[in-house]
Amino acid sequence: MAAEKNNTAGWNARSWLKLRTAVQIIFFLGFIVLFLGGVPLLMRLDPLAMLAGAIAGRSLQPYLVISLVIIVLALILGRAWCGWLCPMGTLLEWFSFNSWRSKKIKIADSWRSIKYIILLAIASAAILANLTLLIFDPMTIFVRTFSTAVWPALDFIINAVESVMNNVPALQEPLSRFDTAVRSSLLPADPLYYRDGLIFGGIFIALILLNFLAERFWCRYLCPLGAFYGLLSKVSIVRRRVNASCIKCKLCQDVCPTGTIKREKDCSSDPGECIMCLKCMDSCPCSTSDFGPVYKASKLNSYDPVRRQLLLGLGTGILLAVLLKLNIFSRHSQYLIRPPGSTEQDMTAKCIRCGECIKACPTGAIQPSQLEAGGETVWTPVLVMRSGFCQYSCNACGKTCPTAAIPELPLPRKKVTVIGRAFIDRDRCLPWAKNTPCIVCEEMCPVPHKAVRLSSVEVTKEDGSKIYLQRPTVQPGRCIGCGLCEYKCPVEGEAAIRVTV
Amino acid sequence: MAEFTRRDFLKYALAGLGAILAARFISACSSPQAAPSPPQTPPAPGTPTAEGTGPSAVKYPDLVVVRGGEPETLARKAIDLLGGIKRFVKKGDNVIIKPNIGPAMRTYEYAATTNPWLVAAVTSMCLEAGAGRVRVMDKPFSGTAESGFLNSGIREEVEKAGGEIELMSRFKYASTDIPLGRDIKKWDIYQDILKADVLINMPIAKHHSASRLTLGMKNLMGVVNMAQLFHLNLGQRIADLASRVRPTLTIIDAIRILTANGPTGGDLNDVRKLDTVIAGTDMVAVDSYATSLFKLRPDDIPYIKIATEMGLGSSDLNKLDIKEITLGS
Repeated sequence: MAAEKNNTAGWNARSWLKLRTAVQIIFFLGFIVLFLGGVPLLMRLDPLAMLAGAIAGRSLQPYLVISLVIIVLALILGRAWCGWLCPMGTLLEWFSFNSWRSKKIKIADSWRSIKYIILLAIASAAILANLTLLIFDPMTIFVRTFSTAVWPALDFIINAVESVMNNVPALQEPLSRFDTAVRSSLLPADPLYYRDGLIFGGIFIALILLNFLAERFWCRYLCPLGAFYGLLSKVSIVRRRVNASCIKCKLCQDVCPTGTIKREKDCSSDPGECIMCLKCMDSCPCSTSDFGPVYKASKLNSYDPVRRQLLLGLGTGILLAVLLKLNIFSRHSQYLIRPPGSTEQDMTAKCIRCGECIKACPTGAIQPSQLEAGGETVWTPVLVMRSGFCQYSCNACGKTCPTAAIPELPLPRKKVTVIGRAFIDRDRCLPWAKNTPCIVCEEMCPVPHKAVRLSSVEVTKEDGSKIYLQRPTVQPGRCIGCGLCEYKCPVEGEAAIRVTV
Repeated sequence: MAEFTRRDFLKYALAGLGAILAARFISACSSPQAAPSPPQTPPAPGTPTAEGTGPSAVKYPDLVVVRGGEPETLARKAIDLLGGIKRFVKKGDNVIIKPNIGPAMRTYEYAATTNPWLVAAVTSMCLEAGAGRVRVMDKPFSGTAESGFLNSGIREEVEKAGGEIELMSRFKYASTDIPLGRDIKKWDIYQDILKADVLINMPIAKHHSASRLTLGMKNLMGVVNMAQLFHLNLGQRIADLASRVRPTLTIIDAIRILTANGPTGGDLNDVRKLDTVIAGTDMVAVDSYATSLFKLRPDDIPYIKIATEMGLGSSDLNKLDIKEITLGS
């Protein structure tokens, strides 16, 4: 029926749906390009993360104008971001599992409160200079997962395929050209490993699998960014309208991806839940459902954050911000090395946990933190020198950080910025512990006058023979903590030279 | 959707099994241990280079040393004295040039990486001789290859000269036998380096704390995986590698040399400008001569001493035919 109606010539509901699909594809690919390019714009398109960052960091930055533009757009078009642009929403739509879902599962509307509670908790915690809960922001989830799981996995698969194909002589030449073309612009030259990549990948898959319970489960019930737009949508201008001639056929209710159209409420919907996907308009057999200007605030629903939810949300945020401040976890690990120029204060109050720096670091040194600095800064960047090192002439992390939690240092300054100090573990070091010659740390040291010095000694080995050895010592005043020595130390397992705070 | 039947279950089970087998196949193929052994056999023992077997009556010097001049002039003169580039590069040859860009963060003035104009000059000469393809590759130890080629200036100059920069691909390393090796009998070596028709080794002469100097043989450490493990027996392992990777020509860049704080450098006070190029087909001989720039003797450098003992080349400078010239004087 719907199809017949839409076969009429001209611009119709079906055309709008096609346009939406095209916009979704273009923006999804656009987000991937921005991700690969390490452009801070990607995260700056997220007004929730940016505003929370501005509040917690107590700083107004020029790039917040982008957030204002997006907020104005939301005041006009409601949650159109969710239905048209959001990469997470697009992905959830592509993996909707619509035909696999059991019809029996019914989730109460009260669940919709969860997203508002998360949003309010983010807001109240931000006022207390805490951004921990931004780990629930969909854009940070998206970027973090792509940095630590999706891209490394893709790299692994491509490399495995390359290795197999390289056994065929005729393919070697084109393969070599392909590899040169994609590395290291799109894929890393060396394999990169991220701790907890499994967890991040697993969370992402779990969010997609929630679609088995309800279409766009994440968008309906959990997404704090969706909640943010939802609040704006209560007063947005362009909204879904249903006129009196509606025959209550329920077709729109069946196609609505957020389940907000209710026959029992005259097939009306809540603009705070509507993602402007226009599927209802397409499905409507009598053209009673359309989108146009509405100039009054929408009614409040039981799940909207008015009394209990408001208090619960704000209270949760305050409680979390305070509890996480308490020294529950080991507050300062000796290996808590932060990216060049950033402080613990920046990590708590400015870092939005997006993981852009993890992607930007060419050696894979930057890893998501665990509980080294307490739960408050979980998944903020920390350098793990056994997985990479801070390249001497590189300031990529500072360049890509969307909130300047990692400052953008000019290269000459970056080269003298101390992020930690190396020390030698003489119980593990080959020349110290085993009388075996090795000078790798000294050789690698990139600072002009070598922070690792060698002193020659004559030693008697266990078998009585005498050899000359060079033994390394660190000159603490020269070491910048780049970790190249720790990365390259040939001692297996824990290195014999390690960078500490 | 219809209900899930036993037939469906079997279908999925088979598909899953197939996927597991495919994954196993792929991972088996991608691990370096499973890579096929190199197709070519190692060079015959004691043969210092591929060249020199022909009945040619022309006698070329073992070693040439050219001083005083711009990098390009130095390179051209040195190769001319060795018999011209056509002696080494034939039409259509697959040429690889291996410079030293180990310290990825330095520009050429710091004498930590090979002079970009020297590399470009050799690239041009190979192309003039009709080489099918000239690739320049190295894997720095202190950063990405991309940053190394950028900072050293080599990418810019080589591409201007018409050569290609190759960022060494992971899948091209394969476990390779080193039949003459005394300590290491097998190591992951970059296969293209072994397959090249012509391999030109272009190190820069600089200070190094463990091996004292990094020269031609030490430069070969850039073509293996896990080079830091060489340090467990550095002199011997470098010599072992030099028995397997046999450059057609070794050209040492001594335009600027790094006399202290090597191999990374970073202080211009440690740099001396000598405007010198040393070239020859015997890597051991070229390295031996280069020690004199640092007021050392070949025997002072462990890997030269060991390589000589292994018969990989000659380090007796008195017995070599050395042609030294100074340009423009």
